[in-house]
Amino acid sequence: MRGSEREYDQAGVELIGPSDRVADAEVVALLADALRACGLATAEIDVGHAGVLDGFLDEVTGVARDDARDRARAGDLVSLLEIVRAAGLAPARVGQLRDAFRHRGPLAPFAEGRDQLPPRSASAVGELLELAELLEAAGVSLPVRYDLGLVAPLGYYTGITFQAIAPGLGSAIASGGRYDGLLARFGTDRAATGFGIAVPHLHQALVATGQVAIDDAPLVTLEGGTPSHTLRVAAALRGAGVSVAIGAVAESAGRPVVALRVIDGTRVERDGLVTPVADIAADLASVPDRREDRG
Amino acid sequence: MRGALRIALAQGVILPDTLKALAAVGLPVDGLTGHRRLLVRADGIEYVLARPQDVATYVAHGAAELGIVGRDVLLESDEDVIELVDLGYGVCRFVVAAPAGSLDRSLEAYQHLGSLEVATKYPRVAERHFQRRGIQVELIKLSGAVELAPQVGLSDWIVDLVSTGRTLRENGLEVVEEIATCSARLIANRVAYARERQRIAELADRLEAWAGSRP
Repeated sequence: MRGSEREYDQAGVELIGPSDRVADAEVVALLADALRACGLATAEIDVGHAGVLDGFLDEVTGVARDDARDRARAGDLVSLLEIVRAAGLAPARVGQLRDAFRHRGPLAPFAEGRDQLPPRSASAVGELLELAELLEAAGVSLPVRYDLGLVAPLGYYTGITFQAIAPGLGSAIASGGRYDGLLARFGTDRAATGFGIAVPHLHQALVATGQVAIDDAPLVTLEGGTPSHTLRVAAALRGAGVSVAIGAVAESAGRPVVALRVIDGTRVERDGLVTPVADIAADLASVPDRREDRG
Repeated sequence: MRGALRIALAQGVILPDTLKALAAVGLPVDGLTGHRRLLVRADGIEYVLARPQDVATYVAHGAAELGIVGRDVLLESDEDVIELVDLGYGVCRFVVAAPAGSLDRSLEAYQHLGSLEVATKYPRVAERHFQRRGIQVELIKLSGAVELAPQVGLSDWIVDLVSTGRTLRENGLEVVEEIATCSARLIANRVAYARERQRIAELADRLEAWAGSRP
């Protein structure tokens, strides 16, 4: 399975300024739309909240709090529960934390009992409920699942967090969330939320659905003319946006090949007909690129 | 996504207990014994038998949704997986050990030299430990028989994995410090844990109940 490179290209969005749920809803919906527009219909958006864990850790003191947070980020839920239990978190709380981390799906079961949760966890669930309502109203182009056990490996998230996942990929395609404290550390105190799409993972997810990049634009080959005529014709066609190879091509990469015979610097022969290069250029440059129509 | 959950199982000392655990929670394990196949399908589950180190790799990359492997392997491999359940068997400890009675002398040597030599098969675990302690060490990576290193003058201390501690004693070593206690873990791929939460959480609950019910 793919999706675990050490370094990759990212494409992302940051929404700086607003700190309300409308902004959170906007970025989540935008991520879904962006993936959808790339032709990925199999993805799901997993939404959680950094405050769920923070609420429980508020009731733990000292180094145990940092240790517990480290272990949660590392995905070590066994040690997370061991540490908070050893640090004196009430058994009922440990049970709640365990159950919260196993919960993914509708928010209802947790929404009902949220008064019983630690204050910050309760308000995190409250924010998720608001978000759910907004996303429902807005209509999101991919399924959204609420995941109370979603802990981002990066530590700067302060609110709603999310990731996009898809079949056939062992890592998230995109991840993001609210990071209201981060920009202040660089001198400007602004609320912010956003996401990054791991572009290679997106391609891998698309390939896993059977989709491959379609390039219908023809490849023109030029033969038979003098070198100077051939170069002039090639320049004219390339100037019009047509891909040109001089001589035969060994591998057309799946693109249709149009073979032209160069008569002189302005005319070529195509299928036995002598035609001005300008007409050929107009004709071939107008072949639509199907990539534009996807989505 | 495959319909079946794929579970990577660590071969070796913990496998018999792993099979016991899986059978106890009602998973089919008959096909897993008595032959040399490494990929076994049974009733909505697919098992991969792999070397312990590779179990963590399979799961981190999503080639298996779940895995059962010792925490010792996870600590040394540093793969990104979710650790869900402590299964309780395969208990062992990472320890720092030194020749019996040599602790004072090696601390004096440390003051003089500013560094200690530590032999180990587990450089990541050792490095993290001494970094956290703020102790400067020179790690010497060995592939086996680490308890020999102090006797032949290769290192001052060792970091090793012990279960009873007998090998240490037989080689004149004593535990200076315990780094971590390890046992078998149920692990999950991060994305699989999200996508297949219900199935995985349900299996985790059953395994946790089984582990909790053992003496």
